[in-house]
Amino acid sequence: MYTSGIEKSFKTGMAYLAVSLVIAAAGAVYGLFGHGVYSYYMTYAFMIPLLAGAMPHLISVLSHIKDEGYDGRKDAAAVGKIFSGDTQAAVIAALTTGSLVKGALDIYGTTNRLLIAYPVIAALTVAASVLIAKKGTTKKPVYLLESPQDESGSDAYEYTSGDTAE
Amino acid sequence: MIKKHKALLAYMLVLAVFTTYVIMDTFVISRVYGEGSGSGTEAATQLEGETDSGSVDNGGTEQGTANSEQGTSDSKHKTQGSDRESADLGQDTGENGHKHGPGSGSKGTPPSGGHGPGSGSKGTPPSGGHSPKNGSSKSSDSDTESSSSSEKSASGSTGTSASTVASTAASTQDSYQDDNVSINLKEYNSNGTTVHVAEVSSDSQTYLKTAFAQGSYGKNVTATTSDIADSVDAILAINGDYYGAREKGYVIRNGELYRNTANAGAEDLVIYKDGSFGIINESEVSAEELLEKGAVQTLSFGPALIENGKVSVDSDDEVGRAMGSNPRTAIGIKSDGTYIFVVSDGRTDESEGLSLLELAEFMSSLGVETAYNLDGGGSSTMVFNGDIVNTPTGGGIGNGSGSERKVSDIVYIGY
Repeated sequence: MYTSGIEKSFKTGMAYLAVSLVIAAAGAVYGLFGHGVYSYYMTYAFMIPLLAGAMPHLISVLSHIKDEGYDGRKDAAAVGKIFSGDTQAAVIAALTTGSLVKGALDIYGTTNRLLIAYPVIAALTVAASVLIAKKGTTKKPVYLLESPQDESGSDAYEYTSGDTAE
Repeated sequence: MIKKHKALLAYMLVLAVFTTYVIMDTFVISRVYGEGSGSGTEAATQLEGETDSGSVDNGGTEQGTANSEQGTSDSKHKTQGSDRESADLGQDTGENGHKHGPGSGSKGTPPSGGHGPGSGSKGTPPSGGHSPKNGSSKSSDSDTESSSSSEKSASGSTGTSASTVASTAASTQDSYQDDNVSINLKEYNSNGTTVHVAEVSSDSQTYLKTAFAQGSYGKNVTATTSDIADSVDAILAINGDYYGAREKGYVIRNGELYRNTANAGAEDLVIYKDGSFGIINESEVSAEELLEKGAVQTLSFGPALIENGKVSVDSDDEVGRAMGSNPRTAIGIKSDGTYIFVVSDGRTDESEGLSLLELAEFMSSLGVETAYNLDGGGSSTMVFNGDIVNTPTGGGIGNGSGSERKVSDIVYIGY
């Protein structure tokens, strides 16, 4: 079964957008009960999945939506050689969680030195992803494999819905 | 699906577990770094990080006994009095160790003048600061010795001091007076908010003290203001700076240094051995230097509300990023050495609360020369003679439920 890269990228982007909205709503509700005490980390936590998750996917979709035959998976895969969809999700999760926890602690008026772990975890995740990619141990996405061209110029591979193309 | 993303799922699980630990570490897990003001004469300076948990100095047993007996019966006060003797002795020794002792003359001397001991002939405020109506801040050794001796007696080493104080004390719902201390409670309405003010005059700065929750210095070691006040037989108490909610900021209490980690840029209130107040910036002076200069207490919350008689906050200043009006707690000193304890209500239908600027202006109208903002919001509590004076909102959201929040420490007047 063929699943277009644009469609998949759109779905992923929308998922991140939904997550952003949920976090924004949670921050707003938290603010309602904060007696006017607020934290930028709480208020703007939604920006992380929005900017690092939803925007890249949705911009990609919007910029190529009129390109007939455009396969967004190839663009995504170029990045995906280093940063898989899972890596992206992991980094976004670490940073967003850290931001929310930091915000909650700020509003309560307290601190915790362990908070530094969140950006460190995110950075280590990226670093590990880069290292693994450099060593060539990442599993190459199937659509990046050299493929025989048929006479019409299209790839002979048949994509399946299980392909990762974020 | 799960198989394909099992690494990501494992990652998320680890993240969730770690986050749970961070939250538990912040709000639940208690770590005792050292005993509080009742640490006794051999109490060593305990700095955070030197001991991780469960560190108990020589005063620990007695303090623990005191704590375990709190709130059980009337006789507990005698026990606590005895334990406070240990605390006071510890403080005296600490002060002597730092070459500073009570600057007052002998306690028990009736105050000259009407409104409190020390006014007029009992002494003058030290230059460069504002001190209570104590005696000369440059007391002689003999003065100090005499005072220490008196302090020991007053603190109940013979088991008679507390009763002596009690027998001479005259107390009403809004006032307290004995030979050494005079306290008057007043209630104001400012900016749609009920503000509770306690004016304290005394013949010695040694009655202005601080106490840790459960008698111990540590993280997440908390108790309500009224419970802590009860444990030390405080006449008047307000919540302190909630040092336990932060990992930085100087903590010097009753002459002992507990935390020397500077919170860059933070303004601290320093109470010196002569009872004077000072505002310092932690970026500019170390905790050790403060001790050398005679600091007995530091309160690290802020900001300073009034310095040298001038309001030092504006409408943009807030605690962290707290906007609007809230319950507040503040402490100040007037030019005549009278201590001013202020707790404002807020977050209730009856009281909106005060902004920092409103609080500063209110205290300025009382003639306060130096004022400092302490932990507010749900923590704001004033206790007088064992009764809660204000309407704490620590347990509810804008409901004025009167429930107290547990805090790390209090500032109090007591023996």
